[in-house]
Amino acid sequence: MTPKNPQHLVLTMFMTSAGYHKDAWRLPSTGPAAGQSEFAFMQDLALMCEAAKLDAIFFADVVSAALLLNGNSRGTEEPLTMMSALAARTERIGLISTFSTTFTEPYNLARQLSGLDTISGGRVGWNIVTSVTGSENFGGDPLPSSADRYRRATEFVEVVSKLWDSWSDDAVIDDRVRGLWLDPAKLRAIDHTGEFYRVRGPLNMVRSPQGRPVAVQAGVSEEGIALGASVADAIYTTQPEKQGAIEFTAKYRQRVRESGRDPRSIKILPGIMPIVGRSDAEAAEIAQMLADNIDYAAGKESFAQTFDLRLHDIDIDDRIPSERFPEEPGAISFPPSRYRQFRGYALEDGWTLRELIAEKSRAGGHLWTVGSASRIADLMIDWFESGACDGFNLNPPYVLEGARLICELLVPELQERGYFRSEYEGTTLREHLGLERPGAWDAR
Amino acid sequence: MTKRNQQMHIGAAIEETGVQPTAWRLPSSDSRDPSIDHFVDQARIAEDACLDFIFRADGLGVRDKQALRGNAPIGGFEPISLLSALAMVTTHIGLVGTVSTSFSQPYAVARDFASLDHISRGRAAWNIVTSHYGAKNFSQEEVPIHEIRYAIAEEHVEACTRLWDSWEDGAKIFDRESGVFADPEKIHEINFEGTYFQVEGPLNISRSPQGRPLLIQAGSSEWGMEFGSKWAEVVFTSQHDMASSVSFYRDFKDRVARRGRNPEQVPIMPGISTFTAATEQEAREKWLGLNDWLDPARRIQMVELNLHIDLSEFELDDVVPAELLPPVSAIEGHQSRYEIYRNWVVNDKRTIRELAAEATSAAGHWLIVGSGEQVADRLIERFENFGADGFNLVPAATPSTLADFTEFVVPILQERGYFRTEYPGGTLREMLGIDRPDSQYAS
Repeated sequence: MTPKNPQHLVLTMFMTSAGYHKDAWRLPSTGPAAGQSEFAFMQDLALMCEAAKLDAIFFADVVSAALLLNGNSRGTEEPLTMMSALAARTERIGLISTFSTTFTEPYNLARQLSGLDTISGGRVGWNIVTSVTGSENFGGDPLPSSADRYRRATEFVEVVSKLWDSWSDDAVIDDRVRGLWLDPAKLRAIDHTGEFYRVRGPLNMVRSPQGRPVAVQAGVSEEGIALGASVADAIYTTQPEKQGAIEFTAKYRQRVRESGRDPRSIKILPGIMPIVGRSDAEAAEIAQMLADNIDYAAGKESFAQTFDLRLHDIDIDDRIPSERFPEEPGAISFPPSRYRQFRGYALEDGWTLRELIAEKSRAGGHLWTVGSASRIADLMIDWFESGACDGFNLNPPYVLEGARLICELLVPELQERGYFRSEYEGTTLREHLGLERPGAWDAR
Repeated sequence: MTKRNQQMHIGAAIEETGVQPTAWRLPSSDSRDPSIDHFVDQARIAEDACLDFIFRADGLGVRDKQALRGNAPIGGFEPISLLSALAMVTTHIGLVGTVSTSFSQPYAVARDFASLDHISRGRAAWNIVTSHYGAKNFSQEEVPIHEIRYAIAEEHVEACTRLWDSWEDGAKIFDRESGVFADPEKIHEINFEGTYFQVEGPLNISRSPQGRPLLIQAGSSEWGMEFGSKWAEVVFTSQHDMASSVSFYRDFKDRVARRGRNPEQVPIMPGISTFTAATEQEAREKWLGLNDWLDPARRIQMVELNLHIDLSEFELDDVVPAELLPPVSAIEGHQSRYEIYRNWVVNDKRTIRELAAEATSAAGHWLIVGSGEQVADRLIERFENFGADGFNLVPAATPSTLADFTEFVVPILQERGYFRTEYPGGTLREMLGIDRPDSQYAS
């Protein structure tokens, strides 16, 4: 296997059955065709991404119907089943999904991801989240504070990692004559006792191809960064400005170094929505079409709800008065970092409510860009060369067509310029990302 | 014999190497590398023979001391992910997965099975179990007693069925013009308030092709039968002889009827372990050949697992004194299986060697060794006498047990009109003749 070329970006695709752009599902061209199942549609998207040699597809996930019923849905897929089914229909592309540490047991999740890693031949990634919604479906107690959730998450990840490492890589000897299937000395109970979990182990599964599935993290709170810096292989982040991204990336690498790890071993992947056209003009038309499709009345309601603001008497073309957008977020179900970002647009940059709604509807606060493949590639390469990132999580504005423009125009442009692979170098997600395979308990 | 006017149903467990603990040592086993291809093979063999479903059992820890000593393989797959992948390489066959209610949350389980049902176009079924093992992997010291485990299961399943019903049929409108994604009148909070679970709902996935994934349950204890008669749509059980089969069948169907459910829509499918070939002689050779791999100590340990006592002082040809055996009610977990073994000792005076042969080859199920014709005769006899509506094949060795069964037994059942020769098309419920439930929230 050729190792991953360090001059290549890492590219993953956000999976949605409609589009990342809010209200994209209302466009006639999006979503499953008549009679096509949602799964078949997602499969088309996954195969398109694999043909473009993307590193992975990524499923975000929440364990609540609240967003769906507020019209904020980007789909209703359940990621474990979806990825397992897609594993059978794809060969190389990585399969990353969000799984929360708040509502499940480490032994269950360790098994599910390890099993899927084996099924897929080593292509699984886990986006570790602590959940800000869903408690109503899991006992109803109010969610613990962010600090407590992250303490639990940190221990959860520790337990899951120990379980994945509880089998040595050469535990199975399959000696049929002596009747010894595994070497019992190579299997170890983990006997974990912590603040939240007591888990004896070992896992009841053979160690999977990647040893441990790839760990992704996205929290930007102090606790989130501490967790990511110590365990994550890749970081998803919202970075709308290049300078901010450069600072974030430098700071993150510093934190990784302080955790005793190689700072280059972590891949920083901001979200980007590339609205691609065959020309700049066509791209602008597409962006306009998407903006015209926004339901501003519903968008106003959703904006108020998301950030816990009182906006009913504010005209859509007015600015939000500063006393209506307090410095500290209330009890909201959205990352505080995103709150501060939009507060900055409203109060410092003086955006109107309409502009704020458009921005949130478009890419939810992520970087977005409109233009020909060549123009957008310029931007992505500039970020990469400036140390702002190691690659991107691609948020397709609408699917399939918006994703097709990314896969069939933008990715080839990056390939031609030498910034993206034309063929997969390896077979596992770790190999795609150029990551070491971690040893088991006996290899440290 | 009057012929029943329906056909039998047949399912097959899919396994890494088979339930016979030394099956992995056969040249045909795939024990070196737990590959998905091995399961794909089994799924295809089962689907080529038009079986009703494949079934993936599960456990939540390394339970078997033998496994920890290295003498038996440990599985490499978890049912939900495995069946989702197998849904992609099959078209008709049902996909049954075991998930325990003891260490999981209803919202997550309901979602997984609803999604599997969508992905497979209506082929998903949940084998509901409670765990008597695994507590120490889930931050608990001991599993709760039988009664509490079933009380938790009761709430868990109730919450799941409500979640599956929380989206009525047609709730997803997807009207691009008006921007209405779903009809709020047809989506319901479930507000489940139990002792063990509190779930508001609704589910975040639309109602699946079968309305609710099919519910399957095993457990022949009093608690298990009460639970099963309320919830189960297919029943798994271990029944060895005709008398116990018929009596269980009657008892269970009566309980179902007393609950106001239609007993004809609750097929009873006892587990079977078969060794079959063109002739009886060859079948016996296959069976005995498999047992040759077992050393005496291992055989005694297999019996210890089923009798729940220490047998280290005994020899293979001893009969265990009845007074050493605890009463059935004192056993936590696998009570009904213990009762079977206890009866073999107390009533039939079987030796440890004989018990070991049963234990190792059949995992506690009905063991049938014979030519295809002989096995088919016995299945038909059991079926015609209302001891079963079908059978769940538990393979001693994979893929050979299943391949032999489909080669030697299934064609005879088909020729005699007892088994389908092609799939009817449609969902697993349709194949089993079980109605699709309406949402309890539909007006």
